[in-house]
Amino acid sequence: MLIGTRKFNRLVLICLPVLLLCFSGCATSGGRRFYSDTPRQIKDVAIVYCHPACSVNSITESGKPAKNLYGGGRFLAELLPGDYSFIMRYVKDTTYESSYGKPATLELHVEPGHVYYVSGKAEGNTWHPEVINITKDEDYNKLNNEFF
Amino acid sequence: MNFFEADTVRNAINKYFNGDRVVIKETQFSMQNGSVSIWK
Repeated sequence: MLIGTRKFNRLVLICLPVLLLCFSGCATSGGRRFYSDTPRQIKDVAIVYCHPACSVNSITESGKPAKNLYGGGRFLAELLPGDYSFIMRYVKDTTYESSYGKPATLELHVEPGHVYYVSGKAEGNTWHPEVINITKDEDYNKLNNEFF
Repeated sequence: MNFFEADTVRNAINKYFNGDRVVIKETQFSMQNGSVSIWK
């Protein structure tokens, strides 16, 4: 029987930290606020929403250190108005594996109260990020799933 | 119009603003291409 043996204990010691690291990485999926003081009203911040095929590696506000993250899957960033640089890759998920394209840089000026939807077009291993401003209700008409 | 995608985005934004609005950490662990990295 495996449980209680030295082999099993060794397996737990090896697997547990790896699983914890995996969960830590996954924790950035969803949404994150990129400023630390009191949360502001939606009219005072900008929202950048990433298509599930975008894997965000880092977000840098102009003149400040980069904030790195794993933002695979749908990801939302709440930003103060300003200029930002996103390093991101497209990711294609299949049942058995994920494949990533080459990293691309997206320079984006965000304004208060605006919502931006980031997607892109892939050409082989290269992709070109695209931004749609969906601040107004009617802007949501521009969304589709045809990007990748 | 893709109602599914539009609704998904709307719901995600509403859910985020009605939730905890977590601040990004300066250091995050990540797992990509099968390897674990520590980002600073």
